[in-house]
Amino acid sequence: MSGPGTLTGSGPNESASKTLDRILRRNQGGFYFLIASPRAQAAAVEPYRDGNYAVYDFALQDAEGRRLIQLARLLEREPDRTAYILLNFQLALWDGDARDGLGDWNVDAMRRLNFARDELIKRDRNLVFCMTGEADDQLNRRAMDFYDYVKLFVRFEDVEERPAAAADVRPVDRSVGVDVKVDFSQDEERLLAQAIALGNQAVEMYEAFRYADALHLFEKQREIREQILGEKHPDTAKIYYWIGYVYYDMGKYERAVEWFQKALAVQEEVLGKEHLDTAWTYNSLGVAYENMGDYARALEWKQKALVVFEKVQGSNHPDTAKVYGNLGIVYKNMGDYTRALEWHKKALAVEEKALGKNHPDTALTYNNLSVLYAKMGEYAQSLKWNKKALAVKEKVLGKEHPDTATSYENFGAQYANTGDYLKALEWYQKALAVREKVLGKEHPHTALVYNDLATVYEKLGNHPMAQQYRKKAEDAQKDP
Amino acid sequence: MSEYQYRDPVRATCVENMYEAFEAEPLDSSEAMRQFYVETMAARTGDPARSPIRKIEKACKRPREHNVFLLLGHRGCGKSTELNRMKLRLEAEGRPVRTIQCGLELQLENKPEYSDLLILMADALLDLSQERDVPVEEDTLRIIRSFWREGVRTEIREEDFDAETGAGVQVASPRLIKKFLDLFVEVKGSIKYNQAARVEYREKLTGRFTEWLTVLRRLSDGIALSVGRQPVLIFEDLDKLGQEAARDVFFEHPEKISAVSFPVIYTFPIALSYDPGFAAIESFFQTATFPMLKLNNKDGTPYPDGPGTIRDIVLRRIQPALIDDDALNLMIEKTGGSLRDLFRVINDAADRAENRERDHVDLEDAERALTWLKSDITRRIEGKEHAFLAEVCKGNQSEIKNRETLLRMLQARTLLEYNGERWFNVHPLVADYLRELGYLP
Repeated sequence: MSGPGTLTGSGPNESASKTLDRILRRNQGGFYFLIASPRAQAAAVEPYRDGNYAVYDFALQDAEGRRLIQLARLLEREPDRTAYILLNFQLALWDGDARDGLGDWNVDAMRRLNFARDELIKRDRNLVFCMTGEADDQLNRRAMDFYDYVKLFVRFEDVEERPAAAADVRPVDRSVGVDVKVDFSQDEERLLAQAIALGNQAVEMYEAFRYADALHLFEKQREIREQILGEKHPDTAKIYYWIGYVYYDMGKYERAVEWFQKALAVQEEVLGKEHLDTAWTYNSLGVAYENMGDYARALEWKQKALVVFEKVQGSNHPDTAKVYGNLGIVYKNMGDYTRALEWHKKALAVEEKALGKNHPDTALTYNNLSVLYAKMGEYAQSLKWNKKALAVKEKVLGKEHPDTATSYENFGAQYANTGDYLKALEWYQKALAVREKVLGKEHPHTALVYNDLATVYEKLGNHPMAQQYRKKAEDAQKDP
Repeated sequence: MSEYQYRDPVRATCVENMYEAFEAEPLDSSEAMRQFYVETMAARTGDPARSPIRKIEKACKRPREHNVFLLLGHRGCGKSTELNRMKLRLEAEGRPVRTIQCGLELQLENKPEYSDLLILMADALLDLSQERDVPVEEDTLRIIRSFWREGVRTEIREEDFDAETGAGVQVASPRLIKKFLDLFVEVKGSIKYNQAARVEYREKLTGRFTEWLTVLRRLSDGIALSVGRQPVLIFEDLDKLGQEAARDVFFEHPEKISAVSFPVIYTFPIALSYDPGFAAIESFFQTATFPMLKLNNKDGTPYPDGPGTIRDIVLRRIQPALIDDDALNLMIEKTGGSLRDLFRVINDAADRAENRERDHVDLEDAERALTWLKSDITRRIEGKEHAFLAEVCKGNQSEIKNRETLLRMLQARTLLEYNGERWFNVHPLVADYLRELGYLP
C-alpha cells in the first residue's frame, strides 16, 4: 500500500496526509478530527491499518457497536496503542439506521461526548475522530466544550472531482490563476502570493459549501488582482468567473450573470473567443439564464460554447459531452423532447466510453435522462435511469451530497407522478435532509423541495402540512 | 523519518514541537506553573491589585466568615489555571485543599443535583482527613454508614468499629476510614452510572439533609483543629452545565449548597449570571467574576497590557523566531483574549508551516488558521442572531432584550465578557464576519 504522504497524498490531500502522518506518530495525547466523506476517510486511514494503531470502524458495527461507550471499551481493551482511529464516527452520533438515510442526529450522544471530554483527556491518548463534515458541524454547535479541545482539524477531499449538477458550470481549470510573469516589485509579489493563498482558501470554503465565506475570500483576492494586475488580466477574469460561480451556487442567478459577463469581457478580448476558458463562460451564462427561465438566451450561449468545445477538444471529449448534456436540458425545458433525447444520448455515448459507467459525470447523464423520460411520461424508463444514477452517486459521493439529493428528489417526483404519494414523501424528506444540511433552509434548491413536499401533502389531503411547507418555500425565496 | 520529542514542559525550539507547547488543558503542577505561568490579572481587570482569585484566597484564610463562592468565567479563559495556582499557594501554607473534578466524578449530562455535590464534599473531606492523619470520630462515620447500611457491596459491619455506639468519642482507625473511602467510591460510581441508585441516594440526602450537614461540619472541624486551617474545596466543571441543569443545581437549593462551614468555591456558568433567577441566589454566595484577557478598553481604545500579556504567554512556550511578529499580533487581535482560541490557531498555523516545510509561522499561516476558526465560530450563529450581535458591536447593550439569545451567545463564545463589569462584546472574528455580511460598516 502507498506510504504516508502518498496515500491520497498527491494533489489536494497532500498537506492533509502529512498532518495525519505527524499526528499518528505523536506520543502525546489529544483529540484530532479528520473530516472527510466515508470514502475519503477510508482512503486516508488505509496505510495505517497494519501499524500499532487501533482502528475502530463504526460503519462495520451494529447498533450496540455504534454506541459511544465503545470508545471507552476500546481504550480499555487495547491500552497500549500509539493512536486510536475512529472511522465513520458520524455514525456514533446518528440515531437510526444510516444505511437507509432515515433517522436524525443524536443530540444526547453529542451531549454525552461533550461531558466525557475530561475523562477522555485524562486517558492521555491520541484519538483521531474521523467523520463527515455534517458531523463536524453538529459537534461544533452541540458539543462545544469537546470541540474546543480538538488540537487539529484535518480535511480530506474526495480524490475524484465533484461532479456537476445537472447543468455543469464548473470551470475546467480548478486553479485560481497562475500569474503571467511581468515585472513586479517585492511588495507586489508578496501581495500576489497572498492573493493565491486567499483563492485557495476560498476554494476550500466553496468545497465545504460555505459560500458566504468563499465569496468574501474571492472578493479579497479580486481586490488584490485588480490593484496589481488590472481588470483586463485573465487571472483577474478568473476571479470574476469564480465569483459568478459562487453566486450561481447560492441561487443568485442575476448576480452570477453579471460576474460571468464581466469575466467574459476580459476573456474574449485577451484570450479570444476560441479559448476554453471563454467557452466555459459561454456555457455558464447559458446555465444561469436557463435557471432564470430565459431559455432562448440559454440556448444561444450554450451553442456558442459547443462550437468552441467541438473545435478545441473534439466531439469525443468528456467536456464536450457535458455541453451536449447541457443542450439536452435546455431543449427539454423548451419542450423539444426529441432533440433533448438526442443530445443526452450523444453525451452518454461519449461518457460511457471515455469515463466508464461508474463515473459521477456519467451518473449525471443517467440522471438527466431520467428527468427527461419523466417529462415525456415514460415513467418506467425514468425510474430505470434514476436507479442507475443513484447507485453511482451513493457509492461515489455518499448519501449526504447535494447531487445525490437530486436523485432522491427525482425518485420523489417519479412516485408522485405515479400517485404513490407516501413513497414520494419519503424520498423528498430524504432529499430535504441533505439540502437543509448542506445548502441551508434559504437556498432556492431547498425551496424547490419544500414546494414539492407541499404538493405531495396536498395530494394526501394534509393541508396544514402543505401550508407549512409552502410557507417555508416562500420564506426561502424571499430576498435576504 | 524524523524523531519527535517526548512531551516536555520546555519551550518549543522548532515548528515540529509547537504542538506540544500549546495544550488546551489548564496548568496544574508547580513545574508547569514555573515554566509557563504569566501573571494576567492586570490584563483582565485593568488593575493589578484587583484579582477575584486573590479575593477568594484571602477570604478562605479568614475563619468564621461566610465564604462560599461562585466563580464566574468563560470556559477557556484561564480560570482553572488560576484556581490551580491558588490551590498550590494555599497548600504551600499548609492548608488542605481539594479540587473536585465534577466532570470526572459525575455524569454532568445526567443533571446533577445539590445532593450529589454534598456527597462529593464528604468524600473529599474524608480523603483529606486520611491524607493529613486527621482524627475522625467513629460516630461521624456511623452517621455516614446509616445512609448506606443496605444495598451496597462495601460492607461495613458494627464489628469494624472499635467502640460501641455512644461509648464516648472514639477515633476511627485508618483501616476503618479506608473502608469508608471505598464505600464512597462505590456510592459515587452508583451516582454516576446507576439511575435508580442516583434517585435513591438523592432522596436519602434530601430527607436527612441536616444530618449530612453535621457530617460535613464534623469532618471539616476535625481538619481545622488538627491542621490549624480550614479545608478548602473547589468544585470544577460546574460552569459546563447547561442552563437548565445549572439552574437545578444552583437555583433550586442555594441555601443547602451554601450551608457549609468551610470555604467552598463553585465554578459557575457565566451565562447564567444573566438569568433573572441569579439575583435571588446572590445573597447565599459571594460571587467573583474572572474576566477574559482584554485587548481594548470599554471605550474602544487599545489596552496594550492585554496583547502584551498574551505575547508573554506565547513566548514562554516557544522561541520567538518560530513565529513572525505580524502573524502573532494578528492571531492575538483576532482571538479577542480567548487563550483557547489562540492556542488552537497557533497549532493550526504551525501545522501549515510544517506542511510547507518552513521553519516558522508567517502571516499567511496565521490568516489561514484564523479563516477556519472564524468559520467554526460563526457557524454557531443562527440567522436571526446576526442583527442581535451587530447591536452589541455598535454598543447598544441596553437595547438587548432577548436574554435567551444573549445567554446562548455567551455559551457559544461568540460573545465575550470583559472587565468583570457586565461589559461584553462580540468575538473579533464574529465582528469581521458581520462586516462581511453588511451588518456593520
